[in-house]
Amino acid sequence: MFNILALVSVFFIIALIIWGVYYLLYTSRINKAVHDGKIRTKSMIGVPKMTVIIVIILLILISVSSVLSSQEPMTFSRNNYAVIDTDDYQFVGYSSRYSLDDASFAKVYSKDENEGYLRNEYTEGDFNFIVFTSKTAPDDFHPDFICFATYIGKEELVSAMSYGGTFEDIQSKEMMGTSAVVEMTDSRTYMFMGNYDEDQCFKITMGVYNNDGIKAYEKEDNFDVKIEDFALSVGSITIKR
Amino acid sequence: MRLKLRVSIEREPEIIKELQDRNIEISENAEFVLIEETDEDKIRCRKDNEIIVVSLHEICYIESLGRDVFIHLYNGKCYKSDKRLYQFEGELSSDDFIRISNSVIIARKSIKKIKPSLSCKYLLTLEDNSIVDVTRTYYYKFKDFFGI
Repeated sequence: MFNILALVSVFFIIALIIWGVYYLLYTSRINKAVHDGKIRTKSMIGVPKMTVIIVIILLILISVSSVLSSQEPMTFSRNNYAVIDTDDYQFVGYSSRYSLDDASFAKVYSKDENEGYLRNEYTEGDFNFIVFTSKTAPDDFHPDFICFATYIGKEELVSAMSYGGTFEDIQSKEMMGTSAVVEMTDSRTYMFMGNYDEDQCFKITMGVYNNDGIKAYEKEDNFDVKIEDFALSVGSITIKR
Repeated sequence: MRLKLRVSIEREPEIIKELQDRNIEISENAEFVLIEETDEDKIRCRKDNEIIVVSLHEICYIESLGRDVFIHLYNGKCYKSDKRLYQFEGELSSDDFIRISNSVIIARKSIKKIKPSLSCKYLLTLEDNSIVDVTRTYYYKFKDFFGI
């Protein structure tokens, strides 16, 4: 945005010049009128009145400039996601707006096919990811992406799973995300659904842990340590348009 | 009989002769005063003990200082008047003279230069190079008078 001080200075200088020119014109005119002896029907605005008018206009311009310069452009981010336990279709986690428990509406989405979405399937480590990305323009009624993340490894040693959802700026690589540890369910599948801005991608990181791993993580004081470092197996996927 | 004269300098010799021809004595100690009737476009002023008759067109401005009223002419001369300023304001033509403050009346043609100020006043430079103010009270009246 523009430099408000520079703009105010410019306004002030212009106002001063206008006032000065008007003063000279007015002085010249009244001296001429007095010497001519002619009474004119239309007289000029007096200097005091003109000064007040210029000051008022200047103050209005400064106020408007101040208001415009203080306003940041409105930006609205679509970045948000939710994690749903497909066993009981309850929310287990969400990044922003959601504050509900019941996610039964998500039953409309299937692992096989969803109208208006492009399906892809990936396997990484002990995780299978079925990803649906919207083929249509973003709207407020359909999520931009849906992902079914299923643990397909051995179950016996596993006591817990973790999930992580991270939004990443495609250009700057700047990231913002959340993660949590959740219980392993019978379905072993967690459903991710959410939206992202045009210049963003969404990364899902899943991990499975045994008891020792969880305890070791809980003892860790260093907040920079990732939970996945204690995982038996990790799988991740990046979803983009 | 003795008379004290209050006449213009120009006519004084003529009047003295006329009176002396009629055996009338001229004396400053006389009880009776002979005063010259002036034309409408003349006023009587005083300098020391002299009576001066001044034409209105010679007057640049009239100024009141305390109890005294001074008549300033274009030629730089200044005479005293016995009249008060309000009396002049009532008697002088409103087309040719205007009061610009509580203490000054100026002639319309006496203005050499006008300088406006920010505080609803004008600074006037007159033909005799005196500077007088048009005060806030008389500001709009002055503007209307000159149509400025």
